[in-house]
Order: sequence, then structure tokens, then C-alpha cells
Amino acid sequence: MQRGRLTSRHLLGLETLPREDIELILKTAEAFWDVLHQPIPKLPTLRGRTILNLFFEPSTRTKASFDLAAKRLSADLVSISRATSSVTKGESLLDTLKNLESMRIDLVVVRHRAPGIPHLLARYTHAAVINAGDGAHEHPTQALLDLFTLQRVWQTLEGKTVAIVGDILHSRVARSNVYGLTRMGARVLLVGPPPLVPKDLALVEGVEVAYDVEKVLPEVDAWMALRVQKERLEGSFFGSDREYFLTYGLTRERASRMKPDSLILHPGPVNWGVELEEGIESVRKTLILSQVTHGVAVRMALLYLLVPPAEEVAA
Amino acid sequence: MKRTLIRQVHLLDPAQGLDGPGSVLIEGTRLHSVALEDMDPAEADVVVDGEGKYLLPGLVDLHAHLREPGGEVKETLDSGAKAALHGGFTTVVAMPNTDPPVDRPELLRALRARVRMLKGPDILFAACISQGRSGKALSEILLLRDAGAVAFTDDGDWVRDGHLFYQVMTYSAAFGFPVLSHAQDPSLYREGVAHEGPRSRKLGLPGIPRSSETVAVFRDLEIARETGGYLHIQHVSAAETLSLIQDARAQGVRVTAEVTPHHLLWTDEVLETFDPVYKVNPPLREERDRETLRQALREGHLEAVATDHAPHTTFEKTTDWLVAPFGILGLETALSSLWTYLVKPGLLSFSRLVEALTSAPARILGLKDRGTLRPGYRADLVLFDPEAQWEVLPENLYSRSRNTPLLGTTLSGVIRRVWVAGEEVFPFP
Repeated sequence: MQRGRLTSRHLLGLETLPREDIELILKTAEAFWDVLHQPIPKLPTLRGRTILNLFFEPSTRTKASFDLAAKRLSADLVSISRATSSVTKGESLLDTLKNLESMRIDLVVVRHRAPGIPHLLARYTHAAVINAGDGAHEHPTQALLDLFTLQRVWQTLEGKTVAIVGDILHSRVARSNVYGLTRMGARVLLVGPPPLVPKDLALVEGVEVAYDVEKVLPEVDAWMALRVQKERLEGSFFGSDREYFLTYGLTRERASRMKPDSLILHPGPVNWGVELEEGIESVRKTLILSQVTHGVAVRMALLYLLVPPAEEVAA
Repeated sequence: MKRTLIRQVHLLDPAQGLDGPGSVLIEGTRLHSVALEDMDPAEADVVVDGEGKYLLPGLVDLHAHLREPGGEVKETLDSGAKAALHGGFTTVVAMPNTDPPVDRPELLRALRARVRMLKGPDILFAACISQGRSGKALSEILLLRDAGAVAFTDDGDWVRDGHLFYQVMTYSAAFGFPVLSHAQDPSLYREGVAHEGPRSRKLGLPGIPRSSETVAVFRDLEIARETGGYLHIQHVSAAETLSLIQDARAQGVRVTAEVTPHHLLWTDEVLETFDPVYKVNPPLREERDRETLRQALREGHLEAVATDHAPHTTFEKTTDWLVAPFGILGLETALSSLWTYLVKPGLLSFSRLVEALTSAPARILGLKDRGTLRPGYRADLVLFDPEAQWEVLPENLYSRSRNTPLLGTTLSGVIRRVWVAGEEVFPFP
């Protein structure tokens, strides 16, 4: 396959990623999706190249997805997971910055609880950097796989209406999706309890904020539920998870009032009975599991596009 | 007694409206004569030619963190004193949020004895309002005052307990000292690390809303009104705070306020860099806040500029935005940065800036021997070269810390010489 080039060396977020780059990533992911469905789902493309997975915050699926993507492309993979306490956090970050420079890593995948850490890494290292989630700021690979998932069903996102529902305030998935969906021509509604959906979170012109689920139901083509961190939010941002479920959860009854061909997404893991009612898949099509498998293809595409060609490294 | 004459210099002393070429004669520790005319060099033992330079009253900083005791890795009284002189400050009020905090007369006496050993600026001390800065029980206000505390504050934290604050304000009413309030209601910002607004939302940084400041200021003002105590609001950051202060003052409440160089220089636009060197509390807010602060400084509604000099190690400040400590250096760059970015472009008169750094803070502290160039006053003087430039490089700073966003930049305005009580103490020998 002809290797296209992205306009940036790094994937730090979708805020400024041009539509052509998104299209190139999705197109490349499509090719890798086919590879993943061959009898031997592995390519020698990144043989001899080194990828570092740097996870400062616990993660199961995103990390597994990046691991698998790197292995399917035959890259050498180093994984460091450090759930640091706030006392040692500074130390590990400074050390990491310095050590990275001496390890000759080609690409770093980084997740951190603080916004901006991938941006700082990108400033201080020669390696390409992929943001795998920085605090409540951005999670671009999740949004790209959501775009990939929707585009595979719809072919185009132009003119579609996507409701992102839940804790927008603390969600990096929501922020990246706002940028990605709007750039691909979709209309975005942000829906949730008022303290979790401040009006100035309508990051892009045209994005709408709605607090009444009943009004938006008939308009949406896709319902993207976000995970609610009950422990953190209950009694502070809303009264109880029961209240959340009854007011902002997608029940089977509510789903039945959505358009017949509308879709349901969730970045996982789902709190059943809070964000979504069990059995929802019998009412409308859910894409939750395909989101996971699409994640590997999209991340393979990103590694392929962002690991610098060997000749450049040698030079 | 030794006599030093500084002649052919541009005298700028806003308190008396002096602004023009003249000369100053120092005798011993005091100013002997000040005149907008030349004096006979034969009168003096030492003669300094001030051609092309300004002679200003020594600067007074209402708000510095000198970190001793407990934070000596960031700053000591020695390094803080040097940093102060390098920036033209001849009087500095050290904040009491040290470890242990300055909440006992014994510690205050020990620190003052340390300061007397230093050849440098007059370092004065504010003491804690509450024991251990815990906000729970009143400290020994009168014993601390007798030991030399010039003001009281739990700086770093607001005194949440209204009863406690009420009590200290009655002491203030009776004895006249200022109570310095770090006015910020913590229940309104919790884990906040940046100004709450469109930018913090976009970047996913927990916000500190303007209301956290205004709510606290309003309570403090009402207590000042009832008790008749003297309230000084530290580091004003939000536009709305100004109207609260102005209204209260118009109704006779005894209140003054300060603004920091960093709130005058930057806005939350810098969050886009994710560089924690800009992380400060209260946070850098939006353009309209900065403009309101500048306007209030021009008009005198914000009387004083205070540095909130807050040293932190590079190690602590190069971590992530959430865990990095709040604070920016200020002593060494306050005058030259505001000269460069506000006075030179015509956004603030030099006279008003100097007033806010000299006579205004001296008056807030009730210091009747400094802040202006009058015969008999302390000979605290700064010779300021407005045309020269200097680079804010690590090797050019005397603070033990380096946490200033100005690092690597070039500023106009160099402090050439500093006298403290008649003695030339800068440049360092």
C-alpha cells in the first residue's frame, strides 16, 4: 500500500488535525481491518522499529489495543505502566523525559492523568508521540475509532446527528469526538446534567448543548453514551445513579423512540443500568464491541503512518 | 557621618510629585537633603553621577515568600535578600506560611535576629492569624505584634472560619495593623488548577472560578465594615473584585488591595503551553480581567503592586500541570518587566508604577520613615537605568529558584545601585 503522510509528526489531539489527515487515517485503517481478517493477521511492516507504551494511568483496553496493534505490525514493543502516586509523579516524568532521549525509541504512546503531558513529551523527544489520553483533555485514538466505526456503517458522517451523553466535563473522549465529528461534517449535541455539561464546553461553533433527553431523542442518528464515574460524581454533580439512569440513561423505552436505524456507542466499560439499560441491543443496533475491534485497526494505521520511515531515522 | 551625594540624576518620587533632574544627599542612614537642583560635590565624601538614570525611593514589597524556615531548598533569607536587592526592593514583607509557620513570637524573634545579621533589605514579617495556619484557633496576635509582626495573614489559605476572621479584625481595629487576606473560598474551586473559563474547559483542567475570589472578598469586606478593622486584599485576579472593593471603600470601609506583576502581564492564554511555570494561585484569568486590573492600577483603585514572589525548584515545576505547585518568582523582575511591558508601551505611567511600588505599600504597612524621598527619612534608594537591557538567564538571578516565565527573555531597565539605610548594598561586592 502507498504510504501517505500526515501533516503532523505526532498525534496529540484532534483539535487541529485537518480533515484530510483524518480521512487518510480512516482509509489506512480500512486496509488494516482487512489484514486483521486474514488467516495470519500480521505484517512485517515495522520490523526492527521500537514502540514504547508509556501508561502513567491504569488502562486495560487502550493499552491492550496498542499492544496488539504494534505486534500485528511486528514492531518491538516496550511497555511501562506506572500508576504513580502524586508524590513520585514528578520524579518519574522528569526521568522519563531524559531516558527517552537515550533509548532511541521511534514512537511513544503515552497516557497520563494530567492534560498536556503528550505535548510536553513531543517538545522534548525526537520520537513521534501518540496521545492515548491526557487527563480530561483529549483521547484522539478513541475518537478516531468512533469515527471509523460510524463511517463503516454510514459511509459518510455529513449531515448526521450524534448526541454525546453524560459526563462531558471530565471526558477526554467527548472533547476529541467533538473535534472529530464536526470536522467530518456531523452535527453534535452535548447532553447531560447541567453541572457536567457547562455551556462553554461547546468547543466548536455549531455544537449544541441540551439538558432534556426527551427533546433530542427523535433527532439523533447515533447515541454516544459516556462512562459515568459514579463514585466521583454521585451526591456532587447529580443526586444518585438512579436519578442519572432515569433522566440521562438510555432505556429500552427511550431507544424505541430514536430513529429506527439509529446507532448506540459507548467507549466502555459500560455501567449497565446507569448509562444504558440491559437488553438495549434488542431495540437499536449497538456498536460497542465493534468499537473495540476497530480500535486495533485504527491504531495499526496510526503506528504505520507515524513511525518515521527507517531511512529518515538513519539519516 | 559619611555623606554620599547622588547628582545629575532624574528624581522620581510620586509621593511628593518630584519628577525631574536633581540631587540627593545622604548623611549616615538618613536622607539629608533632596532638591530639583544640583548640589556642591565638595559637601560629600562620595559622589555618584546619576546621568541618564532615575533615582527612586527603595521599592517596598508587601508580599514575598522567602521560604525560611522549612523551604530552604527553594529560597533562604540570604538568597531572598539578594534577589530583592537585585530587583530594587529595600523593604520586603515575608509571608508566614513557612514550615513551621510564623505563628509564635519566639520564632518571629529568631527570624528577625537572622535578618539583622544580613546586609541587605529590611525584611519585615507578617505573622499567622491562626495557630499553625490551621484556621481553627487564633494565634497570639498581641505577642506577635510585640515581637515585630507588621501584618497578619494566613496567606496561602483564606480564613474560612468567619468568627476567627472577625476576631482578628477587631484587633486590627484596635491596633491599626493591616490584615492581609488571601481571599479565595476553597469550596468554590476544590481541585482547581487554572482559571475556570472556555480555555480550562477545552483543555480539561479543573477550574478556579472568579466567584471563589469575589465571594471571599465580599465576606471579608462586610467584616471589615462591622469591625472597623483594616483589610488588605492580596493578589486581586478577577475583574468583579474591583467593583466590590471600590463600592466598599466609597462607603468608608478601610480596605486596600494589591496586584501582582504576573496578573498584569499574562492571561489564561498561556495554558495552551501546558507549562506549569505559569501555574499560579489565584490563576491568570482572561483578557478582560487583565485589562480591568491594569485600569484599576492606573486609577489607583489597586494601590500597590506586590510580587507574591513564590520560589519553587525546577524539579517541582517541570512536572505535570495537576501536581506542580502554584507560584511565580517576582522580586528580581517586577520593576523591569512592568517597565518593559506596561510603561514603555504607554499603558501605565512610570510615576504611577513607582508609587505602587514605594509610597503606596509603605503607607499600607504604616511605615512612616520610607517610601518617599524626604529629609530625615531612611536613605533607601534605587538607581535605575531605563535604557539598558538585561537577559533573564539562570546565571543572572540571585534567587535559589528559577520559576519565572520571563526566563530567557530580555528586559529593559537595569537596577544599577541600591542603598539601604544609607549604605550601598548593590551591586554586591
